[in-house]
Amino acid sequence: IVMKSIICGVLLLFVCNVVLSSNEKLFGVPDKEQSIYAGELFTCRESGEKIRNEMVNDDFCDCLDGSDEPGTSACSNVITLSTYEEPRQKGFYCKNQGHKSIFIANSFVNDGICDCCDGSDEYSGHVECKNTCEERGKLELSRVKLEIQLHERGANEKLKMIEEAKLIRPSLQQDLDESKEKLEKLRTNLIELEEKEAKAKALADIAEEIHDDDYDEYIREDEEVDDEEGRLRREDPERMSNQEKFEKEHGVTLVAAKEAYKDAKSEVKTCSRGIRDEENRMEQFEKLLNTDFGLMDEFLPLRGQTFSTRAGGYNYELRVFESATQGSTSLGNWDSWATKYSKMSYTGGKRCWGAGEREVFVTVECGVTTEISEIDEPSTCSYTMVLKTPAACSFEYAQELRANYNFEEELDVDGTGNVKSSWFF
Amino acid sequence: KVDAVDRGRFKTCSRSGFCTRNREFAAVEDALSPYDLLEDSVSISAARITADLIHKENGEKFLLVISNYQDNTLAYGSLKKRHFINDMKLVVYLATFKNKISINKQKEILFFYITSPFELRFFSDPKTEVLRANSRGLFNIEHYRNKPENNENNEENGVTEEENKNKSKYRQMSDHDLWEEKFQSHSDSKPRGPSSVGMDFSFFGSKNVYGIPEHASSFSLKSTKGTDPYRLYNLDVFEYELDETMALYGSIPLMISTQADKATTSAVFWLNAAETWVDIDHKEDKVDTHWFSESGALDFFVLLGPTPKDIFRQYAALTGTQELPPLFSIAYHQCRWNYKDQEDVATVDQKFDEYDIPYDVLWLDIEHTDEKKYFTWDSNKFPAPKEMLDSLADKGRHMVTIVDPHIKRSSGYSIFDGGNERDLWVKKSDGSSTYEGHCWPGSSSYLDFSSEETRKYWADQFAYDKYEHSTPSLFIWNDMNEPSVFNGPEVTMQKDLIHKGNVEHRDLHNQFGAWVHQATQEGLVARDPESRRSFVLSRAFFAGSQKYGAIWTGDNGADWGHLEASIPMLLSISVTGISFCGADVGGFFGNPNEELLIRWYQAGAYQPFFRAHAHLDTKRREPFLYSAETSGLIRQAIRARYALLPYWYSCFYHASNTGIPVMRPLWVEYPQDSKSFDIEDEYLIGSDLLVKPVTKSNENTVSVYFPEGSDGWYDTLTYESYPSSGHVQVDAPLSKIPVFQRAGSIVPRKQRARRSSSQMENDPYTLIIALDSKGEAHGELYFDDGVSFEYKKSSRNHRQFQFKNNEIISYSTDSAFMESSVVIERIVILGYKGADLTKAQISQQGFVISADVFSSPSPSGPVFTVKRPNALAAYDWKIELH
Repeated sequence: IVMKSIICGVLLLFVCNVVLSSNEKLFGVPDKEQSIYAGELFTCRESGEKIRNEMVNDDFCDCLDGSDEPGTSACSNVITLSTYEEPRQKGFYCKNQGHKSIFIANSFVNDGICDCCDGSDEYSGHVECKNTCEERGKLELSRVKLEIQLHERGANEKLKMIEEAKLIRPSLQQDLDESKEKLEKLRTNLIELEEKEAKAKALADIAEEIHDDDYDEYIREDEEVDDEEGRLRREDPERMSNQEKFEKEHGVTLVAAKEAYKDAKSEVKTCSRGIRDEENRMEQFEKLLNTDFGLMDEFLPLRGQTFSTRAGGYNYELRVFESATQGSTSLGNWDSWATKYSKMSYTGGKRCWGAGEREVFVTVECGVTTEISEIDEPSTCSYTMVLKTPAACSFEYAQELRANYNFEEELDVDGTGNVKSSWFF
Repeated sequence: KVDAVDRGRFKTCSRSGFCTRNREFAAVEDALSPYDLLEDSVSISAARITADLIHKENGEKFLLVISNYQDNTLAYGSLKKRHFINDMKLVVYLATFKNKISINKQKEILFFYITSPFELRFFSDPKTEVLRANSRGLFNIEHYRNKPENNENNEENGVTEEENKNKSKYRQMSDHDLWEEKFQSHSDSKPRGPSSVGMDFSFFGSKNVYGIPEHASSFSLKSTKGTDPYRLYNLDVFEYELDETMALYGSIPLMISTQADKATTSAVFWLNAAETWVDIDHKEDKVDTHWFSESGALDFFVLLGPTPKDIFRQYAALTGTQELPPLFSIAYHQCRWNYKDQEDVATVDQKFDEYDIPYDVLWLDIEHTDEKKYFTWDSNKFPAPKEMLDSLADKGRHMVTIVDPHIKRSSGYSIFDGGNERDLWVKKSDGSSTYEGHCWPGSSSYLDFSSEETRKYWADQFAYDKYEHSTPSLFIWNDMNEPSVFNGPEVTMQKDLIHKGNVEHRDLHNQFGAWVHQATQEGLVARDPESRRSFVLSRAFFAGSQKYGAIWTGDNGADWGHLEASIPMLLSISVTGISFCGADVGGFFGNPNEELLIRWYQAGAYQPFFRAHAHLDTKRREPFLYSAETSGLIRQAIRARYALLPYWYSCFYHASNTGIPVMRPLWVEYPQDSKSFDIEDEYLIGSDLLVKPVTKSNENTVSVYFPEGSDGWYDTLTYESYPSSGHVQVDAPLSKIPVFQRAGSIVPRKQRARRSSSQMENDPYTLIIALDSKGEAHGELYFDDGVSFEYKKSSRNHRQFQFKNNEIISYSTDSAFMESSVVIERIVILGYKGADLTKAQISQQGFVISADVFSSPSPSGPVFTVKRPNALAAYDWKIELH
């Protein structure tokens, strides 16, 4: 047993070297990058050291950046953050003839799990991988075809929404202008009312000063007053109560003056409230005007529209760009685009025990009609919804897909699913 | 945020009758012990001493048995019955590990007794006294008695006793709460009356005592003057607070004392599963401790060391060693309450791959079941569990589901029906009707795990044909096994409930959870006879739980304090036998910010059980959900764990052999360095890695203490060397957890990143050789199949590595062997002082090949790397360096 395994160990090594270095093409590297590894010296792609060519793909990590081992797992622990950009731009290159070429992580190379559809990532012999590229390529193609169809049809609908938005947009400005105008009027009005109130107040203040008709200065007709003073007073034709004096002086009764002040005060209050309401409305209009409804305003027609669906025994409602609810419970109000044009956030919903305020993240995806397609609560009181809408569809994306998949002919829209191999690399 | 424990729900000492009585008993400083040892009754043999003890006032007699223990003479299993001994015995097991007790009152003594008042003294060697028992006269046994007939009598007795008390020069037990006791709305009928046992132990020459987990407290135990005693009573404490002597989920009544002068270590193991309290008082030259339990036999073991490693071996001989975990289970675990459904599971699994972050185990909490009926699946959320398990297994990954010991009372539910048919339930105080309590499923009953029949029944439920949809890649998590009863006193069972054999719950409470753990473990082993090791995580634990799997520190919080507390808590659990322990990474309650989460991952990667977990109400926090930078740092932390798996596994192998903990306080390796005795924010993994996690916000440097008696340390990241002992300020930016390799050691690693530990099987090793001042180093590597029990027979490989005189050799002193084609791809040599090395000649079994050696700079001089020596790790080899 001992001898055999030693030979195996040494043999394994030997075989590895042969496999990796005798290939004309370097393993794990796309055709267009082969030349980078061709010279006598290899310069580590990011860290810049120079190493001898035979150290490339020799199953030992030499470069600080790990770039000398594109075809093995030797540098799998040496990572740079850019490795994790989507789509992956580094790692082990699977050619995947018949399907999409991709990069996989070097940690997946020879780990016993088939990752590339062509099986090229598992060459150590620990596992045998079937080539599934053609099969998966077909599936992928039909998926892509459907996606292209969806985006093209949806984008046509989107054009209509953009047109619609063009009609709505001026009304937003108009609403704001009207509101501003109204506010201006109300403010002018308020100044007048306040002046009026000030005057009424002055009069009412005087009226307040007058003692409740200074009754003690009177002597009632039926009273027996014997003294001289009383007699004189009773007989004085000029004798007036303070009320009478006030009435004569200001042309209103005491009561009326007080009433007038009350009325004036109430008018001011009403007007102020009107101003506050209008200010709020104006703020809403301003916010609306500043809301990002997409590059072409394509999301604008959705504003205030309500979409609802049932899930898990609850009725969910989304008023787009306004609010979201679950039954009568607020899940949040429109906050912002968490990711522009693909994810909306609605925050500040009803508080949950332990988990804070409810919130909803709405993922926006391309659809021919607008509807809510999925609801989830990945963590307590934090919800996700998927809103399908033509506004998220794009001709450009459809074109990109066509370009990436190298279609030579018009898309087969009749759904027969005939695949032409020339559509692939 | 609700973040405070509801103290009103849990007893303080003053609300516990026997705690109050025992503390009052101890309160009078100069009162005498009422107990004498009757000289005439002493009988001495080579292995045991027996004698009678008598209470001088009430005349109650007790039998004292002192046995000499030898290595490997007793398995813990044969001890369990002793909790219920009714004829009170004082059993002292003297773990001297010598053949004979020397009992000689004049000289050459390891132990002697004093008759009046009764006292025991213990020596680790003839000149070093380490422990006295009853030197403060706090030994007490509340003898069984009948409840007084009526109140009048009671009062009369009271008066008489009161008078007696005033006259007596002896310590007196008060009659506070002797009989029925009330707490909140609960009443404890105590039909058997008072039955507490107590003893004082003084650790001489000691300033530090450790152990008696579980408490969210310091590692070196504090004086309890002015606070409650440390309490041992397994409880489900919601949102526990830090720096508390309050009881938590587990109990291990083992206390270890370190003594710097003579570098001796000693320990007391108080074998009692009833509610127990421990008072501690630090004196000038000793640590006084006072232990008392509500019931059971007074049964303790004195472990005389004298080294920490001796203590661990001696304690392991009594309670067992850590079960060797399957390799996957010491890798990274991803948990959350709850991954909602099969799709959620698939997405999380997929995302880990997409972001190239390794993980081994995905966990399902209670929501995966059908109405919290354990062993079932919610078929709406998990329509095809087997498919899900298999798709994880295809990537070498595993799954853990939760199985709790409370059983929903619902006929048609097989476990409930089975419990009824066999009558396996815990009973009400009447001893016959089935107990009901509230837990997750609502009204529940509790299987009586103290009975072997119940444990067998429970174990059987894990068979593949019983546990529906289970597969060999499914393992188990036991939660709520304190046991937690939502509507019970202190969220647990009433003490007067009845277990099999008419045993009160009071007598065995602290062991209940360990029995659940044991039964589950036995079930998992039995489903694959002899071919697959089990993995079971438990929240409750007791002495001996290490034999059944892993434990964790329960429901912690997402704050810096809990991260910091994880270290002393895990050290306490580690030194009391349970090596496989961890704390929820990220904190269970609340939402950690990114800095805290990164620091927690870094710490968790260097703690034995490494699992992220989060409460239902928290935001999602899987490692891939963050910015490239944050996710990158978490990935780096997790990968650091994977790279060291060969080292971790070797440490666990040692733990399973000798009881030495995997996570060690510095004093385990440096018992002569008293400066290390209070250190609880850094620790060792095995003997060769020193870890100092960053546990505070905004810290970019930390002060690291290198113990006296070590020969220098190397930063594992920069290879910078730290040649002397003492405190050193070390950089610790957010990307770095300070970890150091001991000079003189060789640490095995696997440097290739993989998606789980399963894919690392064929990956080559890297050896990091850190030379000491003599230019030498020694290290080890243990491996086996990582899965089965074959290692116990002969299928294992335990390599020794040695670097000396420019030569590295690999050899084994173990006659067992396991084949492997894995090679060594890299050897890194730190601290080499000779002329530059350029070539290596590798000889193995007659073959000779050569390899390049290249040098690279480090802050402390050149580092030499042998490139692809490709020696087979399984065999002897020699590498000469030139």
